[in-house]
Amino acid sequence: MLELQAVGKTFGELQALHGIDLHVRRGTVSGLIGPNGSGKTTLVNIITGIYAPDSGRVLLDGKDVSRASADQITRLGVSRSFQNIRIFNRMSVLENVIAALIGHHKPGLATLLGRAKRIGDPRVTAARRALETVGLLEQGDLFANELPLPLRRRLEIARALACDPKFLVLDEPAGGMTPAETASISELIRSRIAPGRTCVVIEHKMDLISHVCEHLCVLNHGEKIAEGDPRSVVNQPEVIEAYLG
Amino acid sequence: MTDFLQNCIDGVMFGSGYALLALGFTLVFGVMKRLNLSFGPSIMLGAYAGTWVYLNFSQNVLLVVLVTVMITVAVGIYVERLCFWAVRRDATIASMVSSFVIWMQLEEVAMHLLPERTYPFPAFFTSTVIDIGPFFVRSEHISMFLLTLVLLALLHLFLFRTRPGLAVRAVSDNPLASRYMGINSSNVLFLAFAVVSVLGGLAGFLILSADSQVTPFFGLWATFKGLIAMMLGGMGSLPGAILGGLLLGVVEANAFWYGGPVVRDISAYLLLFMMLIVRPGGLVGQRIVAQQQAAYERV
Amino acid sequence: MLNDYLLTVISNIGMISLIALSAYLLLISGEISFGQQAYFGISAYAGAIATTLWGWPLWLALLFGSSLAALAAGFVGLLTLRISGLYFSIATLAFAEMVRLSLFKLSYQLEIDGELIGPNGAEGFGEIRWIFDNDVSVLEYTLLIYGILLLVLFCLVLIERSRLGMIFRMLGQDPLLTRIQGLNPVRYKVTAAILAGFIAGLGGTLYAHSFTYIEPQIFNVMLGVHALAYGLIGGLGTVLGPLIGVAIDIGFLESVRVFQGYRMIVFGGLVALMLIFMPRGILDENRVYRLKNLAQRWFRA
Repeated sequence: MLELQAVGKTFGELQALHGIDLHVRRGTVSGLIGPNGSGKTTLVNIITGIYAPDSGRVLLDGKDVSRASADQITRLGVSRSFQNIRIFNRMSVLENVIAALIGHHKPGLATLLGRAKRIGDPRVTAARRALETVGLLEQGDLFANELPLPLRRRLEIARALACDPKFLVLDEPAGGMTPAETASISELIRSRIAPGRTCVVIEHKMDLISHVCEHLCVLNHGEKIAEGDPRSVVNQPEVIEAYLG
Repeated sequence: MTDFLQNCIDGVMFGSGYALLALGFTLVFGVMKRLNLSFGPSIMLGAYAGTWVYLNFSQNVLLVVLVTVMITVAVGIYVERLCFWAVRRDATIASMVSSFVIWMQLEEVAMHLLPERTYPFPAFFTSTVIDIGPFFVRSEHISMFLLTLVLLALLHLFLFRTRPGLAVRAVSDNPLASRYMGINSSNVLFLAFAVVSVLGGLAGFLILSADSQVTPFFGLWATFKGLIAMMLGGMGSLPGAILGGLLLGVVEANAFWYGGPVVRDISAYLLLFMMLIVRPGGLVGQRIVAQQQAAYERV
Repeated sequence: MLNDYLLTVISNIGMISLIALSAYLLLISGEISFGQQAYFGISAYAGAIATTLWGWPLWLALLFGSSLAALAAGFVGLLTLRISGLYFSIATLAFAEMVRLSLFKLSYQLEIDGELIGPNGAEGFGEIRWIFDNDVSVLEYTLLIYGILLLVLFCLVLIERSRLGMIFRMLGQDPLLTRIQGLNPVRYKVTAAILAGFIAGLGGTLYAHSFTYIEPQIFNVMLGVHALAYGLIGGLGTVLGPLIGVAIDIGFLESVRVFQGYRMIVFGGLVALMLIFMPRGILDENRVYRLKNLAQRWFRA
């Protein structure tokens, strides 16, 4: 499904990633963990085309997408959420999700000039379904900036989910949440989102990771230091040292 | 070739005035990453107040300088409070638009003060022509050039030898870090505006008295010349402002010589337009643009 | 009875509304242009040349002038793709000043009925006599202006409700996020620029024929800043916003005698205060959304 081959990235003097290899198999949920500044978000930005890698290749279904732009990659079926929440603040919750469905296929003139919120439009139906999945349907008519933080995270997930992506990246879906909210979001991911999808989840909270992921990859200082079954990986001495040291 | 060199000399002389105006823009931009388009009109209003005193009360040139500078500072502070301090800190564009509409206010106030189109401005310098080999320079331009150098030196002393100057540089380098160091950025902004207004008032006085007349168009003129010079040299960079001012002066002097006044003005805007498209940060200010871009794209 | 002065004010509101709408279209897609007066001016000159010197009918001249303006706007839009924020604003300003100054150099005169007619640099371009030659009354011309304004408003309302309009608003809020939704910002930024240029262009040709005399000085920065300010006062949530702004300035401030001579002071202060307390105008997105919901509920009950 997704394969990274020796991906490297430097910002000025700082080498953010050194030759990362990663393989995400179809239909699995992989976790990506690591201390702050270990390069997790940079890696996600490279996968989703916001940055181009300085070296190495990114393959999606065997196709080289290292140089593809972010919008092209999205149209190939990759969706993501953001660690520091990005939503369209001056639109309603429902409109935020509809927005994600316009560009899923390159829109032609007829699509562009059609009414965005026409009742019965398949996009509106799909957007409602996505909101229902994350439990936001009742808030659909609110303005997006009126939502409290945990619900904004859910809105991001709904938006990423709406176009039924082949590949989903969740960047800290439980960031800034209380334990109860975290538990609820990890149950949501496990039961409603993960089945039948390929996902990568970035998270600090180990209970979410162990609840959701079948495979775990640990980054530190831009290098992959461990990989494998979550339970065995977290007990490896390098990983413990990276987190404590 | 002699013509070209003569134009370059004229350009450098006049460009020093542009450089002073550009320094005003660049200091404010450096401190708060925002543009004050009312800078020129503030100076114009100051100069109008000076002229008004000159016409109605006293022929004393020093008094005119004092009034010009004081009113420029007062107007500068009014603009700062209304368009920058009161507007949300991250609303860069709102401040710029706001300073643009305040411009209309200032222009109308000036028109009420002195409703004619043109007024004499006290000539501070005696005007003679000095020959240097095959070239010549006007004495008032030399005086302006020298006084500009003095002002630059004073500004340099302020920024690099005093504590408030250090605070200004700290905020302009890294606002967040300087907040953590206990620097009150609102005070620094106020201070920067005051310093810049003093500088602008003096620059306005020098330029106008070399011209020995003042018109309401001076506001527009000063804003655009300062803005173009700053953007050519580099956003937020002090050496860039001087470089940009001189470059603009030289380009304009040559365009004027070979094409007349309209071509001179077009060439200045064309230069600005091309620079923004190719290198938005100007000759030496690209770092700031890169920083702003990075802050914006942080995901 | 409508007298001619009142009609002139009303038709003025209509024409200035067009340039305000043009600035508004860019405002909602996140770009602040100080240069829409350039397209207004290009079209004013081109349209007036077409009717006066080439004898074209007005509708064709209108199309010609506006298309030329749209073309120029698209060109500037392409050139300025890489820059945004204040860099974009200053670049549009520089372009508009270049256009205005170039008009000082534009001299293209033909002999018509024994007289030299056409733009002549700083002297301007007079004798744009289409209205007189075709016996169009002031009232009829005002109606024409409002017909075109209504057509533009209708199209803009359709765009606002369409997916294209949604994309413009997305771009205005977060271009990177828009890209992540699979939309290439380049296409839509240039589209918005072209549409805005065309709308400003419609206003320009109408303006030239209404006043019968134009000169480069009319198309200065202050026209562009006013156009921008109208949207910011009236609100960025609906196409009615800029119209409200125009009505407040021209309809109210210019007509009320108390403000005579102080209009700029009042207007400038008003806009500055609006930017502090209502940064997106009276009818901003949030209020428009609430009003729509309210209207819907009221409608059902």
